[in-house]
Amino acid sequence: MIMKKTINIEESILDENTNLGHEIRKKLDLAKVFSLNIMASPGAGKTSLITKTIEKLKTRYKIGVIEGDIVPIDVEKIKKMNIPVVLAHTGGSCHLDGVMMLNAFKKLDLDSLDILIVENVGNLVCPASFYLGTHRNVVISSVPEGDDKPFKYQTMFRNSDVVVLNKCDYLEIEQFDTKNFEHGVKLQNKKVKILQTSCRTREGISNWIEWLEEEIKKNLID
Amino acid sequence: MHEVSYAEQIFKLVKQYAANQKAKKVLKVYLTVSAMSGIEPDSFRFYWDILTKETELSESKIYIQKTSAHLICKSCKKEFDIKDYSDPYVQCPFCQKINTVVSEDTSITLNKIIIEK
Repeated sequence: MIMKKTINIEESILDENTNLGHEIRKKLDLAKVFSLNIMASPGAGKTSLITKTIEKLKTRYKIGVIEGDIVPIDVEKIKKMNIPVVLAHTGGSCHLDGVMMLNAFKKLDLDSLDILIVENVGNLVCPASFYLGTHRNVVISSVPEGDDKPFKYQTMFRNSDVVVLNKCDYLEIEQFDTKNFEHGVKLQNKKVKILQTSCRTREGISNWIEWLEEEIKKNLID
Repeated sequence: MHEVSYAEQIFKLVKQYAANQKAKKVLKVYLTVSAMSGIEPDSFRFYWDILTKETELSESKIYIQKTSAHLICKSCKKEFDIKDYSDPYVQCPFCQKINTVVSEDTSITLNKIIIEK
C-alpha cells in the first residue's frame, strides 16, 4: 500500500553556511591564522593586490592563498612566488561557500601559516551573502568601474571592513567622482576604511600593508 | 542568482530527511524565500530538475513561496514591505528618496516535504 507522509522541517538554509563559517573561524583561530576574504568584480585587481601583499610581507609572515576560481590561471601566478596555494574549484558557481573552504583546507597546512588570503570569485553580488569565517572582508573597487558601484552593490559594501579603491592612477583620466564614491560607501557602512591604491604604480600599497598589519595586531589582542 | 548552491544544499537536506523516514520517493518540497534572497523560482526549479534526475527525488515538485522584503528608509526612518526586490534603487513610498533603504532579511527556509513510503 502506498502511504503519503508530510514531514515538517522548518530549517533555514543560509544558517547552514553560517554554521560552517563559524567552524572555519575556529580552525583558523586554533592555528593562529589571520584571514582575509578578498572580493571584487573581475579585473578590479584582486590577484594584483594579493601578489603585491606577498611581495611586501613574505619575509615576515608565512602566507597561504585560496583561489576561488574555475581555471588555475591565478593559482599559477601565486605558485611562481613560492607560496602555498589551493584552487577552490567553484564548479562554475558564482561565489565561494563554507563547503568549498573546508575542502580547500584539506590541501593546506594551516598550522604553518600566519596569514591566509582568500580570493573570492570575481562578482560583486553573490560572495557578499556567504560568510566564510574569515577575519576581515576586503572589497576592491577600481576607478574604471565607475563611482556608482557602492550604490549598486549595497550588500557587498555594507559587509566590508575595508574598501580599496584600486587603479587610482586612472583618476586623472577617468571621470570618477571620488567624493560620490566615498559617500556611497559611507551610506552603507559608516565605519569602513577607504584606501586608494594602484597596483601598477604601487601608490598607496604601503597604506594597505599598514592597515593589514594593524588588523593582524588587533586580532591578536581580541 | 545563487540558485545552484542553494539547490544543492536543499537537495542534500531533503535526501537526509527522506532517508531517515525510509521514503521511497519524495513527492513535494515546500520552500519559503524572502524577496531579498536572490532566488528566482523558475531558475531554482530548472537546477532542481537537473540535480534530482535519476534520484529518489526525481519526481519531486518544488513549491516556492516568496515573502515580502521588509525595508527601512534611512532618510525618514519609516518602514515598509515590498514584494519584489530585484532593483536595489527602491523608492521610499513616504519620502520618495531612493538609495536610503536597507533590510537584512535574505532568509530561505525549507518548510516541509511530502514523501511516499
